[in-house]
Amino acid sequence: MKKLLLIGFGLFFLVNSIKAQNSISGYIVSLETAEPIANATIFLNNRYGLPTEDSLRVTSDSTGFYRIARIEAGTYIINAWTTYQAMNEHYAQVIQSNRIEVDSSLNVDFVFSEIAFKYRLHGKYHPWEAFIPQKRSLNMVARRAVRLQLFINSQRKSLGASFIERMK
Amino acid sequence: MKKLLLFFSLFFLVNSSNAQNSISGYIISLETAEPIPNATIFLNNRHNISLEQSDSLRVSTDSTGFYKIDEIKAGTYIINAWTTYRAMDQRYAMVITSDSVEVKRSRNVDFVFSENAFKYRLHAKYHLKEALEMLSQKKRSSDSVAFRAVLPQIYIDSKKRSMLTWYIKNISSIK
Repeated sequence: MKKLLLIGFGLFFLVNSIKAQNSISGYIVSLETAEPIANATIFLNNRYGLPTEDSLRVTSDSTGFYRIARIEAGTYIINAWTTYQAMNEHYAQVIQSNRIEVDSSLNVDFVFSEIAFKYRLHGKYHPWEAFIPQKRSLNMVARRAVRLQLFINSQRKSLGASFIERMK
Repeated sequence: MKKLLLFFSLFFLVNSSNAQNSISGYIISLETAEPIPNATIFLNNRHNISLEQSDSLRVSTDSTGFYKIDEIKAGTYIINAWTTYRAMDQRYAMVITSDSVEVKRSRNVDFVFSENAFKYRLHAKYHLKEALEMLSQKKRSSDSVAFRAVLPQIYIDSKKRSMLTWYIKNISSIK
């Protein structure tokens, strides 16, 4: 009798944990102004970087806050992007997390930097500069200082990837 | 033969302790990625107490944010840098203090100041309770994220290093 009860309870918890619904929430801020970024898009990909259902895509509100609710426990990659304008073109700056195990509700914050975007854009059109040893300069220091950042539960984590993309 | 070896090793020992090194680098602003001119950089000893010949080891940055301290005897030092900000008709110095740095060759030490970090620190001075809530993450907001993101930075030979401390100080009353 006792054994049966134990198995019953064990099963109950197992089923419960698989079905658990978690949420991811956080803030999107700008490094240069320390202000929130509104209308940034945040979405989840599965562990292979492939898109998931549309319900897991949200945008940040005017306080920079976003929340993705009802996420099944599992491993995901979180993406966030915001747009910048340069030379009459729109560009999306994308930050991608590493694989994240979502088995409880998480705070994931993204810090975008317009100066980092400008350095990246410059690099796109002057790719050879990466291969020529440069003299130490202010730009070398600045480029390192203005990195994009990702915080999970307020701990700084390394980025999976970041890139910029021209938008049509 | 052995004597020769001993002589050589002694020679190198004396040579290295007398070697004169330099520290140079850039001081920049995080928010603008622009140089900060007229920032002051000086060396303290390994216990962060000022040195006897402190005047000669104190420099300020030029218009390109560059500084260079010459003729440093090999040893362990703590490097301080400060720049000033203005807020509410008061002048404040923001000071960044490095961890102890072993100087046995010439090194590059870069400082990144952040005006937003200064503003958060100033706000915390007058709103301690709010600041503690923000740090303990009891009340999350875009500010609690930004506060972590805009901290000042130190680079030694282009590698990011932790700092001993950084703080702000009201200097309006000091002439």
